[in-house]
Amino acid sequence: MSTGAVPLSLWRIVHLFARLKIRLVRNEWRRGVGARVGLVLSWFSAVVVGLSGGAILAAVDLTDPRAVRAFTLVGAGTGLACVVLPAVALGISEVIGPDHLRPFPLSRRQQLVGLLTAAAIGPVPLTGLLVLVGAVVGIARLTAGALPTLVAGGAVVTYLGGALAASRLPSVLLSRLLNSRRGRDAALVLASLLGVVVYAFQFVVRAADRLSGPALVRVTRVVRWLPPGALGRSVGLAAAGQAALAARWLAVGVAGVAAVLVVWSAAMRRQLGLTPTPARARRSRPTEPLFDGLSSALPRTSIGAVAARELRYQWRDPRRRVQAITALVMGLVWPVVNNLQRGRGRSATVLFATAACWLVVFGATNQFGLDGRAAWFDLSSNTGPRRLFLGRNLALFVPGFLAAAIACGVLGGLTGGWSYVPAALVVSAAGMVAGLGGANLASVLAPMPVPEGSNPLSSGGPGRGCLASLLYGVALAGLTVVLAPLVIAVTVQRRSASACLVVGLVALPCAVGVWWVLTAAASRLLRTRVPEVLGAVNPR
Amino acid sequence: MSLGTVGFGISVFHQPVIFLVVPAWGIDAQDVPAIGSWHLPGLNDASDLVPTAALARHRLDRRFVDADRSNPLGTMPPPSAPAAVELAGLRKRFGDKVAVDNLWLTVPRGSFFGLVGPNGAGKTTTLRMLTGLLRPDGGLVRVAGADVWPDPTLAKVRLGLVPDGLTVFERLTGAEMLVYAGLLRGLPEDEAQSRSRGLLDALGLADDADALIVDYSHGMRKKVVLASALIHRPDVLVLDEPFEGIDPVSSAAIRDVLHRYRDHGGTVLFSSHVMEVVERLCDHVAIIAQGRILASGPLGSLPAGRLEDVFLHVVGGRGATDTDLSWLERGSA
Repeated sequence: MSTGAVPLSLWRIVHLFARLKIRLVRNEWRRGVGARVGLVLSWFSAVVVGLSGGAILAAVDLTDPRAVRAFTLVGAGTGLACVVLPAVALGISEVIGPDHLRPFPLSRRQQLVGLLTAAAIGPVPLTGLLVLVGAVVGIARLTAGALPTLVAGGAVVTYLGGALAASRLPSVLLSRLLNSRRGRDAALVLASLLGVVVYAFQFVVRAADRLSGPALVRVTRVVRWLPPGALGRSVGLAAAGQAALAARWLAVGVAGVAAVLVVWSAAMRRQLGLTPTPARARRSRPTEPLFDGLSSALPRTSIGAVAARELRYQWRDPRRRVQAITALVMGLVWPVVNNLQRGRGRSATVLFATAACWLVVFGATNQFGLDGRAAWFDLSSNTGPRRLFLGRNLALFVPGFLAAAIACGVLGGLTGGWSYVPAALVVSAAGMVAGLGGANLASVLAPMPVPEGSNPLSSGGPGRGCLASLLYGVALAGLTVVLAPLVIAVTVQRRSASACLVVGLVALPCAVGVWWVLTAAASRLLRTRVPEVLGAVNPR
Repeated sequence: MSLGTVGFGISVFHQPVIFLVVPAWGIDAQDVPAIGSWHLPGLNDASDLVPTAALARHRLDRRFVDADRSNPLGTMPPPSAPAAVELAGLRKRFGDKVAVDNLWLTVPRGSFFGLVGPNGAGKTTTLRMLTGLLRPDGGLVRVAGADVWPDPTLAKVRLGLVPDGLTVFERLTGAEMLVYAGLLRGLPEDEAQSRSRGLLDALGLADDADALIVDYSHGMRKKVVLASALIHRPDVLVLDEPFEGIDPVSSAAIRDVLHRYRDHGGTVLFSSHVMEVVERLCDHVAIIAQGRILASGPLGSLPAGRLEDVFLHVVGGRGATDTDLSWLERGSA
């Protein structure tokens, strides 16, 4: 019956996938004003950053002897960032991924070329291309003869291809893990921990400041053998006019990128052969569904039910688990590291334990977005918005306060600042109560989808580009305004534990008042905005 | 709808005919009164099935939606006693696309009502506006006597909803979800637990009650959403494509539960584009296309096995015979 697939040339594949990706990007335009603003901002930023970087590289003196080392280090660093950052921070654009190719009779080479073509069309690749073209222009301007420019051009093209493949590598390599729900949950938590590692990168940068010249040379000697390091070195050497040596390092880079492509191809083949496996069903039978463990103390009302459900979600929903882990780590790691680096145990450091609470509050600014396609269930029930908010806030307050208490205990032990612990706890409570009021209002004013995709390394973005960041920024600014008086008062009184305690005790009833007013406003607004909120968190 | 379609409707139903000349210059089906015991709603003043006359007296516009603030005509006319759901002049646009266009429909209390239409006909949009999930651009919605817009709270008490494409809280177990739904609807905990156990049993979910919903199959998810919608014993149950992608065993379990619910006074309104399901379950049907109700009436007045024919002719569907698909034929180049 089948007449067989018509063989497509690689150029035809490039053409097809480029057209498909451009069409998909163009169709984003139809998704509404938010998507359009996001699209314009993303591409505009890409062009501005790319042109600026390219112009700088085209203008500076690349023949400086230190340029070779700089190109090697920056090339290697950027190459590693291409692997790690999309996975942990930005998400990999899998608008066209291996799974989409399953039904089509494409050869492995056709798949690779198609996916690379699709991956090459986007704001981030455009930025990379513009910057690297600037480097080639700079080399052409400075060096005599076409050979160095040719080698640099080859290195740039190889570098871009390698970076595109490497950025897709983690999700494909982890496909076996990601093929089950439990695997995906675990991967998301691991990815968040990697994110914390990226956060800790600032400490590495500080350490690098202290690196001596010889130490940098040693680092360079190692990273130049990585494909991006070798290609960066090749560009640097071409800039210095050493075309033959540059060609040798180009060969090293090409070999490395070829290896990456082979690994990617093999992993993709394995992924295409996999079928999703559901997680094993749980068999434990609780005596009282919904109200066991930490939830057993909650009232058996609609408020208690919402709080119990939310508490369960904080443990079972990987996205909420990530928030909790991040809150605890940030509330604990940052002040601890800071304290150890300064080499003295300052008692007032305990007050930094309140950071855990701020993060819980900031994480609550998009409560309906986290519920996503299930948000309709609460909002279509006859339980009023105020009761919904009360239940959710209760569930956020309890673990947030526990995290702050743990952080207080650890920091108190480290610094000996036990006298600050009561103040830190009261300030945490006050900050959370007031902040949650603001978060409730933000949740109604600027709800955004937080999709739970099948691949935690490739989804999770609200799909609104820069607009999402802008809205989050506005929400955070609003919360900062709500919390600013408390933070300022505590900062002013930080030298006295008892004064901080008094500030906290005075702030607590005020915070309850603020919560009451803001939550009432949020409830009133939600009552009239249910369709809009649902449309925002679950766009069709 | 064209004159030809009306003519076909007459011949299919074998009913006494009130022949109405439809001028070719603009009156469409929605403005045409009854044909036999079926009718095309909007101006029907004689039907005992779709009491739209009172509603038709009102010309509806966007102001009705904001009745609490600026409705100069007051709220909807008094509810007609047997109606479980009344939709009057409902409208919704998405950009340039008109999804629901001046839609009128009445669902009798205690009926098993099927809303059938092709894909993109406006079924889901209509049901979402009916249940308070989507704001209409104009028109009125009343569920069990309660105006849904502008304040859907009272209507929500009387409604149960099984939406298509939306889900419940998947990181809860089936048992937890049902208890949660019961408490959210104001049931005492004991009652919520007891009803939850009963529903899980009836729908064949008892063995998987303590598994997370995210690990459920498609059919199990549909059943748990149905159970969540039923747990507070609503007056009206609205289901959007409830049998889509469901195996026969699950389908039978859902049908049984729905019949029990309806037999004890509940009203079921569900959308589907599967005619066999509608013919098997419903006692009333409305055909919707391009956002309008083209025909509605009791299924009993329809000769058995003819709904699909009626549907195709009313909607104006055509087969693939007109299109050149000769390449599909064996042996062609």
